[in-house]
Amino acid sequence: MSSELVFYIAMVLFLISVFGLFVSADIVSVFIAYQLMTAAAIINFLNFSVYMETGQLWIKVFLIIGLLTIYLLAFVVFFYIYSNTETLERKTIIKDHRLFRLEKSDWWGEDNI
Amino acid sequence: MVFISDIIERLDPYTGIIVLAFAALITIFAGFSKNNGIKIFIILVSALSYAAAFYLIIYSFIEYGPRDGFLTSISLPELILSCIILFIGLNVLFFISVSRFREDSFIRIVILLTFSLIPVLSLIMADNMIFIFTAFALTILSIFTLISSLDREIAGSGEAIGKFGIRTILPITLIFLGFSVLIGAGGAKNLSGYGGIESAADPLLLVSVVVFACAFYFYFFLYPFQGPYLKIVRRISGGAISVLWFLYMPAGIILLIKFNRFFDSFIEKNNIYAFTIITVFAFINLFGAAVGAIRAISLKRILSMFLLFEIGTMVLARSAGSLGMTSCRFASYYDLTVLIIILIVFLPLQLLIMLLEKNTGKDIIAGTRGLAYKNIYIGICVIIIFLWWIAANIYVFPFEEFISGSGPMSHGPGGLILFIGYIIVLLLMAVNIFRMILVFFKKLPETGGPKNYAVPRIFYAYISVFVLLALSISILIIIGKMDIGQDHLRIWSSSFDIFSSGN
Repeated sequence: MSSELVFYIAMVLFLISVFGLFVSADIVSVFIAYQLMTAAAIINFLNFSVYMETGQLWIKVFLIIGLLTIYLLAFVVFFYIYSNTETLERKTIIKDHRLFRLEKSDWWGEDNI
Repeated sequence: MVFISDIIERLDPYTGIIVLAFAALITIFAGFSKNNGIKIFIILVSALSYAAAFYLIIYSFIEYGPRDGFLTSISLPELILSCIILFIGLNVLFFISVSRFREDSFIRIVILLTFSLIPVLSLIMADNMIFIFTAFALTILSIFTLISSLDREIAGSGEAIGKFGIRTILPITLIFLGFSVLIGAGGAKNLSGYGGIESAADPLLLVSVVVFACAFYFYFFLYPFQGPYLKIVRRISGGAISVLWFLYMPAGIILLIKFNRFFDSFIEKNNIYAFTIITVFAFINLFGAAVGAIRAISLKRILSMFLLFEIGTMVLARSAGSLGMTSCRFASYYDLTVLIIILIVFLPLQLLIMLLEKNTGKDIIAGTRGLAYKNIYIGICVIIIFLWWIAANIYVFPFEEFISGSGPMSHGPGGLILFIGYIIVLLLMAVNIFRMILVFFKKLPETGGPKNYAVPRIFYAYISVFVLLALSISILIIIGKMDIGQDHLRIWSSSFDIFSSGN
């Protein structure tokens, strides 16, 4: 499989994740979209490391450290959301995590607290 | 002394970070204490460690000068940014001490603040891409932890903080993806390896630039993605807002300064397309913030829109760069200046709205009604800061490029659009400020109006420092422009030259 084809596959994964982020309102779907984006990055890292004469170890170290920090952040946010929402509210809050909702109050006037 | 110099030499350039880590280690032992004396001791230890880190960073730079390593690169901009971050740390510590001293979790919050400063300082000096990414991700992580800890007991903030947290993962993931593509464009381990104009023709570099630009746009919550930011600002307390405005936003500006070198090579290469896209997004943000603030009544919301406006001017500076009006170095200089403007204007204003909210129980613009009569000194100081802010935006933006040469058309229709558009948004922002000043001079209602504008005495000193700083910068610029006085007084008029030479 050529390097270009692998890169295109990674970019398709990235575009699917962007679509998921814009469309989905469920927190689990949002996190899956992040996983797809991370998977696209992993594919790119490994793809380019194959064709490099030097620095392969450096790329692998970057990959491992990068993944660790991203998953740590995702875990902290996910833990915060689950530990701070009451059981009764949880279903409504988890279903209402659309990232890019356009509301009139964000542009003009006040939002209701 | 020789022994201390030897230790500093061995620890260089991590001396500041090690001092902060040592302070955090000491304070951890008192993490669960509720004793007021220990709380004061922790404040003193933290403040002294910030001051010591401040001194050591300057001392190292004077002693060893600019230096490059495998992981780090230190020159004049890094020195200035490190000092700014430590200054911010001291201010946020002051804000938290004012608002949260009586709480049981106070010491743990101070520990988290010290922990947050460590990755930010690492990010400033980082040059290797692994170090940059890790420091940035840990910065976001520690800031999120700090904000969520500050508002743990405030009802209604949990959902907004959760949504904010989910949004902060996106820029990190995008930057990770951007780095993965960037490595394919050249294989260099440092960002400086991609700065050449020749590499701008690489399609992989183009993809990575677009991904990075999106990451920054999402990171700063610029229009039209401002929703979670505007929501969280109204729902969290003053201490958490200070972390959001003065640690989260500056961390993004610091990373942007790092990326400028290779952003600019791309912008200069692809001027017309880059100009169109950047200008559209810049004006969406500037108009959105300026118009949105006109109708807003919450002070926190108005100031948060003002902050978005200030960050939007950074996008507009890139637009001017894509027309060839400014040089590559100017973008970094402009970002640094915006960071300083944000601190001088928003630090005292944020503390003031925090105190007014505490006194009046309201976070509305009507809560400042009659401020100019009831507390004349504070009223005058706030008006000076607002006017200075508008003047600083006019001074810093490269207006002279529009009117030099053959006039406003010297850079074609694009230059004219930028010129007229920026004048209009500045006028809109002036209307916002005039509206706020007008409320200060409105007479208080007979009954039902806010009566208590008393602020602690220390706030008079605090706001005076910032007003004097703003006024002295203005006077030094005027002296420099008029070419009078001693050479060292003209520093502010030629600050860009000094910045460029030290970069």
